[in-house]
Amino acid sequence: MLHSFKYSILCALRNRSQLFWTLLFPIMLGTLFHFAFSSIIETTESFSEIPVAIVTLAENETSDAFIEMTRQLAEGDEALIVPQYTDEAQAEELLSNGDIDGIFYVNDEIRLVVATKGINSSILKTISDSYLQIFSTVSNIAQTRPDMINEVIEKISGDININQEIALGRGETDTFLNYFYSLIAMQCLFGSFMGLHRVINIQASLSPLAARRNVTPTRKMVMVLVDFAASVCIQFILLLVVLAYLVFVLQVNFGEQWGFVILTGFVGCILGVSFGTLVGSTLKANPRTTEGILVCFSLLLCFLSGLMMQNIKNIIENSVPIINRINPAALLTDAFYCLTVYDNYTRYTRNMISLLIISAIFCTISILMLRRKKYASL
Amino acid sequence: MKQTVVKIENLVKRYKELLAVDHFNLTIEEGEILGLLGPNGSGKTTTINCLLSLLQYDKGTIEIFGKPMSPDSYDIKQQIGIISQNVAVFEDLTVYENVDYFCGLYVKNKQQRKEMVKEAIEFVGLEDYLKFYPKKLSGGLLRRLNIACGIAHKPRLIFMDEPTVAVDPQSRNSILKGIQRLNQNGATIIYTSHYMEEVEQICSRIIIMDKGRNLAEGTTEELKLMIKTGETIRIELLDLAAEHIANIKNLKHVFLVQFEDSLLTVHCRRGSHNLVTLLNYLNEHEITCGRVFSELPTLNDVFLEITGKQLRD
Repeated sequence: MLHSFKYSILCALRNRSQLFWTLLFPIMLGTLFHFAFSSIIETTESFSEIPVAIVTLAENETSDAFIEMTRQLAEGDEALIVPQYTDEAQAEELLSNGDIDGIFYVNDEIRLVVATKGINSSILKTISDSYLQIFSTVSNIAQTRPDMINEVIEKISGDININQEIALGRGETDTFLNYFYSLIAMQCLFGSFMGLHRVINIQASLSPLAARRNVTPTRKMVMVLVDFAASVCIQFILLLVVLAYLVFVLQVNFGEQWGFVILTGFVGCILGVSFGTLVGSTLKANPRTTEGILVCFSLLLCFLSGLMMQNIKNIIENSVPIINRINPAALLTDAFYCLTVYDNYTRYTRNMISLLIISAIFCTISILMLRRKKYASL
Repeated sequence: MKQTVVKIENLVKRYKELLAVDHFNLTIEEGEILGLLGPNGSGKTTTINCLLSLLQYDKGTIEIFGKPMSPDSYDIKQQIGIISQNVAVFEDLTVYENVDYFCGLYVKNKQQRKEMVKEAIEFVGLEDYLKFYPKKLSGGLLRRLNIACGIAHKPRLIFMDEPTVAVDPQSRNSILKGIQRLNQNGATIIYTSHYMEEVEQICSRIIIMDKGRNLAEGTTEELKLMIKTGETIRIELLDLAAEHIANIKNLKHVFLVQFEDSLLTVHCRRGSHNLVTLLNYLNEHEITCGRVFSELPTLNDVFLEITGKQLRD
């Protein structure tokens, strides 16, 4: 057994096509994600504090309210702007020196001057527009229904409270992390290529090599189990390499619970290899066609789990949730997500049980198909 | 008395409507090299696959070493070696690793296995290619690796299904000599091929199969006696009148005469003095001869006469 295991490992390690799909491709795609998202993240991070000058040209109700609002926007850990209350000349000097991104001139109305176009300028414009919109609404109501003014102000404040972000668990919900979780799910599913290749080398109807192995005195089930174990081992090692690359090189956050992250990856590897074994043992197409079908189907499952479009998982959850409950890629992605976000393990455990059940079903059907002793044709 | 190694009785195998093996019987004694000849689709490979318990069959019994052969006959499989017409090795293992892998499926003792692998590699002359991957080997070397993988564990019964397809004459000669050495060392061999001269050279007994049936069986000489042609005479002539062609056709033992491109071809039945009789006729009629050739029938003639000359798929 050890003899067969050794050579099965060697074969898997030397298969360049498999190594490309299960090691290089995820690393390349992860790197691509990293560079694509990092520029967005950097921009997002610089939203927090925009230096701006506030020049009060005339003191009135509008200017008082606006200045009060800018003070509120400058408070707390998540301050949006850094206001400098100054005169017109100094403000223009600051703007020309590049020390600030814009100037709010406050009079009866609010006028914004910015140095350049960009995301910061857009935010400043949004602030002034929002203020003017709310101010206009409140003024109109004050004139037409003064009795309702307190209720309206309360309602506006209420809306703000409802929309406040509340952390659900231990971690931060980074928008882009799901792409990397789906990437790991894809890497696990690409383990199906190893499963498929092992089956091609075991089913006498699929290759002369398998026919030769079938007439040796080694039991077929021993060969199946040895090949399966070797494939899972190699797939798992490659997964650890990809995970290490994502965490240590690309600094992707997989949370603190490394034991569970690795366990999830291991279950993913079993699932991937058993998926390939199932496809290889049930489809009667030639190996190249089967491989093509496997690539397409794996990518479809990953697409549905949010690899190419993050929203898709939520769309499915709202319309056909059963797909997310049985899609191995979605289950793996969600398991990693749960480990990063939630304090309890209820949802994580449910995902893991689903993955194990699916793997068990795949393995059982494969064994039933592979245990066939003779073939109708070769 | 020699042991019966293989016994097939009344084997029938159908692929839906096609009858691939039709009530086929076969007995092989220990130490034989049995040549299984037949056109494409004659049922040779199907018969071998049934023998190896890879294929389901509809009817019949198969015994190897006196025991019924089934997929679970691991004790029988232990003594069998298979060399298929398609090279069956791992692309990602080197020459040494491939031979060691297959030998290891039969032989558990590491030291013994090491010796056997070394012997097999030397046997096929691949000592200089131990670390080569199969894709780096030429067609001939690849075939030799295929053979080494099938014989490393020293099987008592070896199935060779067209092992010399697409191999150059030097490699083929080396492979054939190897097969004879295996036989001298005690292995019984079932050999299928399209190359008549190979079968004629190495096989102690030949079976000609077509449409799943055993059409003829015997040694090369016995098979040659079964056909109509006993001798083919070819003579170069400048010209030959139709009258003479008709007269030659009437000579004793002659059954077919052709004259094309200044070459007279005369097919005779077995009998003595065919050539002398023909030359006397030509001399009497003052017909000048060029070169004269006389050929006894080859296995190829036997094969074509028994299986017919129409093209097969």
